[in-house]
Amino acid sequence: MIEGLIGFGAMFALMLMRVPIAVAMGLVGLVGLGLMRSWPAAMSSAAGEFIDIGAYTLSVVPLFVLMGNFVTRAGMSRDLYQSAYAFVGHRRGGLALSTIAACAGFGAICGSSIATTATMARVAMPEMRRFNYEPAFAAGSICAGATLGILIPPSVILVIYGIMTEQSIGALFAAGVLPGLVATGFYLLASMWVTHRHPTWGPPGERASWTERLHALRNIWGVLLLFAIVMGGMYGGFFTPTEAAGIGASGGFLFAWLRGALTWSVLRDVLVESSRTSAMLFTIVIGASLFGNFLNFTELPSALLEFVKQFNVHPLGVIVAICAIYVVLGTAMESLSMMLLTVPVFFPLVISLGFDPIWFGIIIVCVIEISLITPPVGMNIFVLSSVVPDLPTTAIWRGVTPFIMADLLRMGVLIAFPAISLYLPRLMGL
Amino acid sequence: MKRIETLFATVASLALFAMMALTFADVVGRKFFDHSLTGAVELTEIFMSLMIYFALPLASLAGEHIVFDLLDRVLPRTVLHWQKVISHGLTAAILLGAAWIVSQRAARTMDFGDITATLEIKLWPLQYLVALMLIITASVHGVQALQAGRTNRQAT
Repeated sequence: MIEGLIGFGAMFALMLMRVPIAVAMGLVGLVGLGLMRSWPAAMSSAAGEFIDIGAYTLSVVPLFVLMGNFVTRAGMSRDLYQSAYAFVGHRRGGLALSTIAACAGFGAICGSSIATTATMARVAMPEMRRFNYEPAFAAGSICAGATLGILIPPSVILVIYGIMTEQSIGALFAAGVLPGLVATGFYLLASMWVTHRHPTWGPPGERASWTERLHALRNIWGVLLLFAIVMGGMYGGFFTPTEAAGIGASGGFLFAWLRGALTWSVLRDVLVESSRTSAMLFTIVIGASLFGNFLNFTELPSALLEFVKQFNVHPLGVIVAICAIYVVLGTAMESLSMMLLTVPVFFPLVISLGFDPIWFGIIIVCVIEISLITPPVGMNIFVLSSVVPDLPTTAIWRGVTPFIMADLLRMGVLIAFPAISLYLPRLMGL
Repeated sequence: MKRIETLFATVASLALFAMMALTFADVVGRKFFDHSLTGAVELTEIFMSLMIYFALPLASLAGEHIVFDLLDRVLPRTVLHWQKVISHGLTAAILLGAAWIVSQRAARTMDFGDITATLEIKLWPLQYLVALMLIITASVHGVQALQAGRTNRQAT
């Protein structure tokens, strides 16, 4: 137990020295294992981690990253935005509503919130500026809407959670669908509330005729088809989740190519960028596995369970406490490393309290979504301000506040009603 | 230098593209022609290792690894520079250690003559390559540590 706490302390000390989080976790894990078990055992497990990172099941990560980058270049976010705009653009705050709806749609073919933020910022921000939207509100709707990318399947974060905790990726994806819709609903309500309080923040856009609407709808067939192929193929038993990622990436490639968006240099950029992102993600996975192995030997997880049990609190109280810890940690920590660092400790606790591992995965993704938009460290905020450099970061912070409130409410709903997450996977017998 | 970068980027890109194409061909072949690709899984694994480890030095070069940089804005510049020297130096040392550990494993794999299940590809060359790429990544961090050290000396 005490070794575990020392391990965490050492890791945070390394992090404060600006050592990459992956390296800090890996070093502490290796040294910890070496001291507690034996050095040969520690080194052998480290060598295993470096070599097994090429394992077939993990190929789902780079392939979903690649799919996201292809569909981003294919300009599908613009089509989604325009068709949402055709339907709700003429309402008060309609552009923000369109942004959120388009983000949800884009989340269905892209598993990364960072990619969703970057592409939606380029599409939606200029439009909202043209209609004199309050910049903070516009930025908030993009940042928040883009978090849907990791909840609505496919999702790179759910894949990594599934790999870490040995849960079915198919079940996790199915579990993300309804919470994703609930989240979209809450975001839409939040932006309607904002424009209700400040009508000048979101002036209405132009009304589209029904012919224009139908025409705009016709343009999103690509998105629908890609989603249908990937998800349909996965749940129809045509291919495994790992293969679904490869098919999705191929589909993204074909769309980008057929639409003339792929020059050689764009193709190269997409491939190199995806490889680099994957390499970076995998170093974190290696570091976290070593750290997790070490934590299992420290008995910190079981000590934590004993500690919690002695208070005799209701299991739901524990979940609420864990979520509170995540929300606080998430303001200052990068999201993926936060998940990888804490899941080895919290997962055994939550499972031994009798909760469903799939449901807990959805809850984790929700807290990660919050951490993406909570200042000072929120990845979506960083990405948005890199795309829109003239907007002060503090304005974005102000803009995301109502959406963070919506997130907290949504999390309460998902905790209170696990069925929202578990209905679909159970229905499909996963 | 630029040439090596291009070479690594090309290998990583081709490997990733090959992973995608292999999966596609395997699924299509199995579903429509009742004939799956022999060894597609093993090849995917090999391509993935190539993709990861050729892209790793590039990610390091681009500074893409996630660090806790919340304090960057409040810390004085000299402290920041020293932080960079220490963190890059430490990262380089750890990656060298990792390379050594992996090369030990590669040596053992060579002794045992391990091969993949269907295509019977020898595994040790790939493992030595992983060790080599870790050394290269370590040197990227080593150079970054030296550069930060040099700016320190110029500043004082």
